[in-house]
Amino acid sequence: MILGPIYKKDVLLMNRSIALPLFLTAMNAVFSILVIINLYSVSMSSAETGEIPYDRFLGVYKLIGAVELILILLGGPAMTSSSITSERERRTLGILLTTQLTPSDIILGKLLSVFTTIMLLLGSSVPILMTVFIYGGVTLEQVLLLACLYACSAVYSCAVGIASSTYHQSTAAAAAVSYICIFASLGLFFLCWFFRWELRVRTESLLWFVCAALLMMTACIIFMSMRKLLPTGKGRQRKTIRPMEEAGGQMPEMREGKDN
Amino acid sequence: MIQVKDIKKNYGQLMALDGLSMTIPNDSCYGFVGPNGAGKTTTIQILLGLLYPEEGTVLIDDMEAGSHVRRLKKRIGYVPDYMGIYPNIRVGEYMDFFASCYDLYGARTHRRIEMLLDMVGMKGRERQMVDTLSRGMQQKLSLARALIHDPKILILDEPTAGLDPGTRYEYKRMITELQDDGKTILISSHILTDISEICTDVGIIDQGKMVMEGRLSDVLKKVNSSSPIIISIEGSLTGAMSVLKEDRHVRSISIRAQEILISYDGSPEEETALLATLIKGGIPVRSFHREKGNLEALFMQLTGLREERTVINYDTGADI
Repeated sequence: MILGPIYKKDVLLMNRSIALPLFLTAMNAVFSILVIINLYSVSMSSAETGEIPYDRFLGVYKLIGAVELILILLGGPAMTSSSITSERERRTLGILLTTQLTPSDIILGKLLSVFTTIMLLLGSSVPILMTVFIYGGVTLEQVLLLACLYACSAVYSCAVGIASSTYHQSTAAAAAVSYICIFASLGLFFLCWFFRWELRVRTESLLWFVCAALLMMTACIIFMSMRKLLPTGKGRQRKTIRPMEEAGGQMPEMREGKDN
Repeated sequence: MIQVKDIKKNYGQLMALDGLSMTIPNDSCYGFVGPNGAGKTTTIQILLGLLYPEEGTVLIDDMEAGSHVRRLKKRIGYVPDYMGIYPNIRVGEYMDFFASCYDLYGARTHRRIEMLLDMVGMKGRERQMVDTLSRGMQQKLSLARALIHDPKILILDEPTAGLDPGTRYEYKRMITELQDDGKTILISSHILTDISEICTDVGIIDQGKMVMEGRLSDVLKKVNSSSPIIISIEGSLTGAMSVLKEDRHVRSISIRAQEILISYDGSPEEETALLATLIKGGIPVRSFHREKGNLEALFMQLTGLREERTVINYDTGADI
């Protein structure tokens, strides 16, 4: 059921709107222009000096990588902070919860549908990012690390948006809270980044650790969101079936209350 | 059968349900009525497994709500008072989506969707966008959606609210057909004429408690016997009033135009004797009958509301 109804419905509705192809085109256009400008500037520079500055090719890789990471961190909550609130506003959440779907089906379906869309955006920009391989200088570990960091950041930012959407009634409040969480996480990350030399941690190792931390936090956040969608009340823990006689048996056909 | 026994539910300081008990027999159409804020929606949410009560038990076909959730959800179809639509989704896709929510796929499911759309008069509209449908059509689609998994129990919350008379008539006909097919139906509604027309059983809830419940015919019979007797007199009412004041079963007397309304607690034989006394006393009685009880009058009586009626105290002649 994880890739079931909610995932299919959300992907269908998301892809039916014109916004996604427009954003996809705009994003890749901006990246392409950045690469072209960089190539042009490197060519002009080498024509003047007679040296090819290879490190400037790597600069594009780092720039696009960072911009995409920021897009993920900002775009994830934007796409998910309305996921549950909009179901509430349309009053479809109650209907969904009366079907065979469980809260985990709903949460994971929504998470995966947005995650797929973000991965589609990132995947479409891979050819632009790959121009750096013409000149070399990027190791396989760094490529894998970037892919992993993208995936972990995407799933984390989506999970934060969904959790916030589960806990808040309005989309605006959910978006605000999810951005606060994202910026707090970014702050924590930069703190580690600036002190990585004092901590004597290799940059790659620090980033692998960040990926693992993001995944763990995502798991906790998803669990909290699922709990929030469960029915409330003191009877929540009750699991046994009581026989009818014990529960009161047959009731009289006509009764009148005390007030009557 | 659905049995609710002494359930309590509160939202902070507000007690929404205060020891509510109700029984919905199999294959019945149960009208669930009550004023706003009486606890109807909370009860429905508990039956649907969306809320748990603080105290009490809810048994649906001998299974307690809250346990065996998946099995219970398969047995229940729910039509809320709102449509709950997605933008940019077609009627066929909407039905397919909810079918897949019950793990229903394939040709058999498509045939069922076609059959249901045909039942609600929406055959051939599979490609129409749901948000372009009229409210009546959306409500019918909602009913078709709730029946996708062929549930044994159907819970309808204000199903005919806001519908035009023609659509309301069609909707009631569909509910009656579903009941004839052996479904147990719970209808929460404010439209008491609809409840009187389609329900076999009725439960009246007020302030989180069940104030009256039973077969609709039995309830109405009981209402009839407590309704006032209307005596229509030709000419002066003075003679009739003096006879009525003498009768020990007359609890109160009031006047409406040329009619006397009496609250009478005697047997049918004693009613006959009273009529005979009036005629023997030379009083020109044009008609003598009990006011027919209806669900609306009963509802207003039980929930503390009163029918608006001009009643004049005969002795003082002043408005009461």
